[in-house]
Parts: sequence; C-alpha cells; structure tokens
Amino acid sequence: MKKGAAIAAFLFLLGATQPAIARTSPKPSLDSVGSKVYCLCGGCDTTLNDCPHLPSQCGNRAEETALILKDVREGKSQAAILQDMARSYGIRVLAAPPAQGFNLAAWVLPGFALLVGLVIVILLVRRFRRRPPGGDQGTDAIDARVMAAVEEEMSRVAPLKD
Amino acid sequence: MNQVGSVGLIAGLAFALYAVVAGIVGGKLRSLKITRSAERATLAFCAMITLSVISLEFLIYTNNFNNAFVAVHSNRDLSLPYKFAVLWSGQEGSLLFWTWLLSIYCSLAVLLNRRKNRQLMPYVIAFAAGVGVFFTSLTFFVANPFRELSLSSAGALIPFAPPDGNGLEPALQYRYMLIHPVMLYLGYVGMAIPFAFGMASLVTKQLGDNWIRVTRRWTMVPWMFLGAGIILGGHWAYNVLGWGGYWGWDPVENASLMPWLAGTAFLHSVMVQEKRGMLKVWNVSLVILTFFLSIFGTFLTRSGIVQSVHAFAESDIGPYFMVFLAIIAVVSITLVFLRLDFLKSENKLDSVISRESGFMFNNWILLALVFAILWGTVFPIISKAVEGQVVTVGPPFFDKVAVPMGLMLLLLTGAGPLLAWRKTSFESLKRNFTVPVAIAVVVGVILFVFGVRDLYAWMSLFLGSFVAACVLGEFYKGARTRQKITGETFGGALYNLVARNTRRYGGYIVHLGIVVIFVGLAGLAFKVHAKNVMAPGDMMRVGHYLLRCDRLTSGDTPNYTYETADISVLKNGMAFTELKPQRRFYKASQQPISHVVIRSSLAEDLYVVLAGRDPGTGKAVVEVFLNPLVAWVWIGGVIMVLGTLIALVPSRVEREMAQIRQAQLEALEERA
Repeated sequence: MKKGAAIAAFLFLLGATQPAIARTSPKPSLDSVGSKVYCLCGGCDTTLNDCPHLPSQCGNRAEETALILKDVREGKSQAAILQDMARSYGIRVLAAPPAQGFNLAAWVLPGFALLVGLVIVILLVRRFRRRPPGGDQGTDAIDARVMAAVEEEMSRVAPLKD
Repeated sequence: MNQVGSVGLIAGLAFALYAVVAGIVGGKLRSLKITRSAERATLAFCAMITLSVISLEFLIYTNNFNNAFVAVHSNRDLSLPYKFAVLWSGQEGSLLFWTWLLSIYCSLAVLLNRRKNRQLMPYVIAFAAGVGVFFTSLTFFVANPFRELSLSSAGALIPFAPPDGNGLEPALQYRYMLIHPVMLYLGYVGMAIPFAFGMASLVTKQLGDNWIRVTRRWTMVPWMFLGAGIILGGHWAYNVLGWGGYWGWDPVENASLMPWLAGTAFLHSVMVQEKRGMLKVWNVSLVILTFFLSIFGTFLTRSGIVQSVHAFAESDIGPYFMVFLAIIAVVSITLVFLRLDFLKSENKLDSVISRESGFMFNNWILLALVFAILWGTVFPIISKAVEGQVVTVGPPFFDKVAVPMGLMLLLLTGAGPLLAWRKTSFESLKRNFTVPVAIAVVVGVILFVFGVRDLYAWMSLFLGSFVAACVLGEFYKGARTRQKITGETFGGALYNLVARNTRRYGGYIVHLGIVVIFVGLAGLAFKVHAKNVMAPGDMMRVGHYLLRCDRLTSGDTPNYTYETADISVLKNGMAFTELKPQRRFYKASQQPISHVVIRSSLAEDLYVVLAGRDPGTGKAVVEVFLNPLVAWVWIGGVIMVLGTLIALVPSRVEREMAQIRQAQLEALEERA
C-alpha cells in the first residue's frame, strides 16, 4: 500500500514537470506555434507571439512567420512544424529545450529535485517524530545546547570591557 | 566633482575596511571601545558613499558630459525626475547605488542596536561592512562612475566633453522606473543584514531565539521591498515593453524571484524555531541561501552571462561576483558545519498533521521552486558547456514546471494556517476545512458550468476560493470570539484582533494578496490578441470592442518625436472611449519605443499599441490585447505590501513582552 502510494506520488511529481510534447494540438496555428518558438532577431528576446517589433524592423520575425504559415497550410502537425523550425534555425529557436538527449535533464531534474525534497522532508519528519521531548541525543548534545543558552544569557548580562 | 566623488568612494572603502577589522577585534576582545569605533566607521562609510552619490547626481543635474557615465546615460533635455533615475540606469551608477543603500542599511543596523544585541553587533558590523568592502571596491576599481572623458592629442590627454549625452534608455523613461529599481535594490541589498546577523550568531555561538527574533524583522523589510519591486517590474514590462504581458520568465525576472521565494521559506520556517526550537540548521541555511541568491541575482543582472531583455546592464564584472559568491559559500557553509552541535532541535514533532510539518512542506515546495527556476535559468549555460549547443529555456518550460508547484503552494497558503501547533485532531480538521472545501467546490462547479476549461486557470480560481475562505474564516471566527467575550462591535473586535496579533493577521493579509494575484494570473488563459494595419477610417474588432482609427498625427518635443493614432473605441456598439497610442523616437539615444495606452478595469484591460507604420502602405500597425483580470495582479501586490506592513508593526502583546524583557535586562545589568 505504502509502496503503491510512493510510486503514485513519484509518477505524479514527474508528470507535473514533463514537457508539453505529449500534448499534440490537432490544428496548429501561427498563434499556437508562435508561443513555442523564439524570435531570433536578438533585440526582443521573446517568443514570436510576444515580439513587439514590426516585420519591417525584425527580419527574423517575418521569415519565421512565413515558414510557420507555409507548414500550417501544408497541414503539418505542431511537432513537425517545430522540427522544421529547429532544422532551419537551430535548436535555439525552440522556446523550451526538446526532451531528448542531454536536454532531457532540463525537464527531469526539477521533478527529481521535488521528489528528493519530499523524501528529505519525510525522513526529517520521521526523525523528529522519534526524538523524545527534551532531547536524549547524548551528553555532548545536551552540553552544547545548554552551553549555547548559557553563553547567550551571559552575553546579555556580562558588561563589555571598556 | 568627479574628484569629490572618487574621494568619497576611496574614503568609504577605507572606513568599511576599518569597520570589518574593528568589528572582528572588538568582538574577539569583547571591547566596547573598539566596537564603538567600528560603529562610527560604519556611519562614516555611509557618509562618504552619500557624498559620492550627491557628487554623481550633481554631475547629472548640471549636464557635466565630461563625466563618461553622465555622457552615456543622460542628456540635456531629459526631464528632471528621470535625471535622478540616471543614477541606476547604468552599471557604474547602479553599483554605487547598491553600495549606498547597503551603507544606509548598515548604519540603521548600528543605530537601532546601540543598546541591544551587544554580543552579536561587532560581528554583524564586520560581515555587513565586508559586503560593503566588496561593492565599494568594485565601484571604485572596476566600474567607477567618476571617470572623465579625454582625448589624446600630441601624446597628451586633454579633457573632453561632448555637447550632449546619449540619453537615458527610452524603456527606462517611465514613471514607475523611478521607484521599481529602488524597491528591487532595497530588497536585494537588505538581505545582507539578516545574513550578517546569521553569521554573527554562528561566530558567537548565540544560536538561541534571539537572533531569529531580530533577523525576522530585518528579513521582512527587504522581502517586502523585493516583492514590491517584482510587482512594479511586472507593471513596467506591461506598460512599456508593448507585448501585452507582465511576466516573461526572463533571467533577470527569475533572479529577483528566487531570493524572494527563499526569503518566504525563511519567514515561515522561522516560526517553527521560535515556537518549537526546531529547524535551526535549516533556518540559518535559508538566511545564507537568501543572501546568496540576492548576490547571484545581481550577478545575473550585471554580468550578461545569460541573454536577457535587461541587456543594458551587461558588462565584464562577472568574475568578481563569482569570486565573491564562492567566498560567501565557503565561509558560511564552514561556519554552519563548525556549529552543528549548537543547532540541534529542542523538541520532537508530535504529529505529522501539525503546523510544524505544514511549514516543512511549504519549505519543500518553495525550495523546489527555487531550484526549478534556477535550473531553467542557468540551463542554457550548462547546455552550452556540456553539449556546445545553445538552447532557449523560455515561458513554455517555466509554465510547465513552475506553475504546478505554484498551485501546490497556493493550496498550502490556505491549509497551513488552519493546522494547529503540535497536533491537529481529525475533528479539528473537519471543523476547519468543511466550509472552505465546500465553498471551493461550489466555485469550481460554477466556473466549469460557465465554461472555464483551462486547467491552470480553473485550479487557480478553485484553490484561490479555498484559501480565501480559509483566511477570511480565521478573521471572522477570531472577531466573533472577541465579540462574545468583550461585547465589542464586530468592526471593533476585528480591529483589536489584528492589533493584538499583527504578525499573524498581517501574514493572513499577505496570503489574501497571494490569492488575489493568482486570480489575476488566471486571467492569462483568456487573453485575446489581434493585430491590424489601419488607415484613418479603418476598423478592427477585438472581443466585444470595435476600434476605429480616426486620424494619424505626428509631433515633436525636445526629448523625442512622436506619431499618434487617435482611436475611437466602441463597446457592444456604444461609444466607450478614445485612445491615443504613440510611437516615440528618442533623439539622443536614436531609439524608437511604443507608448502603450491601457484602458483598465477590474474585469479586463484594453491594451493598445501603435507598433509603427507599415513601410509599404504608410498605414498604422495597431496591436490590441484584451487582458482579463490583470488589475488584480497589481491589487494583490498592494495587499501583500499592506499585510507585510501590518505584520511589521509590533503587536500590543509584543510591545508588553518587550517592555518586560527590557526591564529584566536592565535589572540584571544593574545587579551585574
């Protein structure tokens, strides 16, 4: 039961941070693809949809838009259009790294970190639950804690040398 | 004046160095005399940096273009308020500004602790002034804003001043730019003080509740400024950049969000230490992490290692920051390890379902979010180093990775405060959660029936209604209880409830602010965008608005030339408003920028941009965005600041306790 819950939690957390590639839009449009590719003019550093420049000021925008519209007219899927864009302009044109090769790490690691964090919190909770009130961590620990309290109290009352 | 400014910097550096040495020696020898001299050196450091700032402002206001910084970032026709903003518009000036704010924070820490925290203060001064030494050195030796322009003539250098300067970056000539960077800097810089207190408590082994009590307030203030700065930055992006959005997951935006999230984690987990004596290592680590991320954010903003819309701040000072970050990491981690024995928990966790574990889970998600944002921000650098391939990590990545974590946090924002310390019984859970869950379910169903199908938007509103019900329920229950006991009116009971526990209820108000911001964010799912070329008489329809271009005009001011499109707007067929978006061309910097006009309401913003003229036809290119619920993002920000201010006010109970503590302390001192 516990194992099942742990596996379910793992799959949920990993799933929460998976790339959107699995979601395929049935009818790609300039707008839907434009939010997934960057304008490479170097001046706006935004997605194609958000580029505030005029086509006349931004050659890349016009060129990228034309390629997307051509692919949309040809009835290509969004994934195929994104592949075409990456082939024409390099992988940098994609607004998010593709989930393959080393770039898979970009997607997996946040979910993995979330999971590791959860394990740490669970371990901490279990450890804190075991520790009896007042602490029985051994003589050294008690001494250190008492000493810290004593020193703090002393510092409040002990006059500093003038 | 250039010489005066430079003298101020070098004298400031000398005083900061002295404060570091005197702080350490004063602390080590427990000498009040030496500590006092460290305090005076800190005040002198502030005075000298203030002199440098005044010198630079004088040079800016008197159009002294012999100064290289003034020549590059200002011009004669720049309006007076923006001349003040020139200070932080470029690398050199903004580093001076950073140093100045730090020196003010250091001085405030000294002045407010002249009779308190005497054991900690020498080291607090040493660490805070140490940060000051780094920034003053950087400002003086690497990015000096007092460099003079000169021409080489016949082997000799002769002073040179161009007739006019290049002018302030057009995107910075916006009224909120007068306050947004100030807020951000107050946030970043202020995190140095809790860090200094944390380090001082590690050095002096005073790791009880005292440093936590002191540090909490010193963290809340910069945390509030940083939050306000982030919201104002979004407001600037929305109003100036002309892309119809306010958050683009730009590396510099991420850089400001990360220390804010880490600071949020600290402000929550600190309560576990105060109440239960637990999470001591964690808390001191969070203080260090928050400061580290503040410096890292400054490093990202300044170094240009990642591509960003904030490219105006790029330079070659990155390596200095990397060394400084390494020093912070090594010193602080070493100190934490050396003091592990003093950082042990005093209590056990009584139950998994308790406020303590709620805070632990909240910290888990906050830190995972920090990691995800950090990872996404630096991944292009890592990918380039490993694969030699440049990749882009933009909004689709962050929306996918960070938004689910944000929603989990939103859930905890409501659930956390309803959990009791030590142990929450099943009955208590049922009693506290039934109404909020019922309200959220009703809201969720209504949203679904009315066609809200976007998962993130639906979740934001569903969870937002749950959190709002939880938080407002706390206010209601508390006030009703007071009313029954004291016979006050409901309003009076509510006021007294908050006044008696400002920290708790101020925190709840901050949580309400978060809910309101999420409501605004949910609106993004329903954004409408249209673009058209328009000649006078042409019309375009966007949602329930019909826009008609009446005429195109142009004009000239000393600072810029402009083109204006006069646009009449009809809403549902009725005359609604007239808008005049502009395209400006700034003469000094030779840069164009669109002056966006926004007709804002609580329901939606009509956002109109004159993007320019179509070169073929000469017609106006008009972009229109219909952005629902954006106003709630700004309102949420204001509520958060208000809540933080309330939480900062000492409550009546706190004031009484402080008086008792002070009286006890004085009695003990007299006896000693």
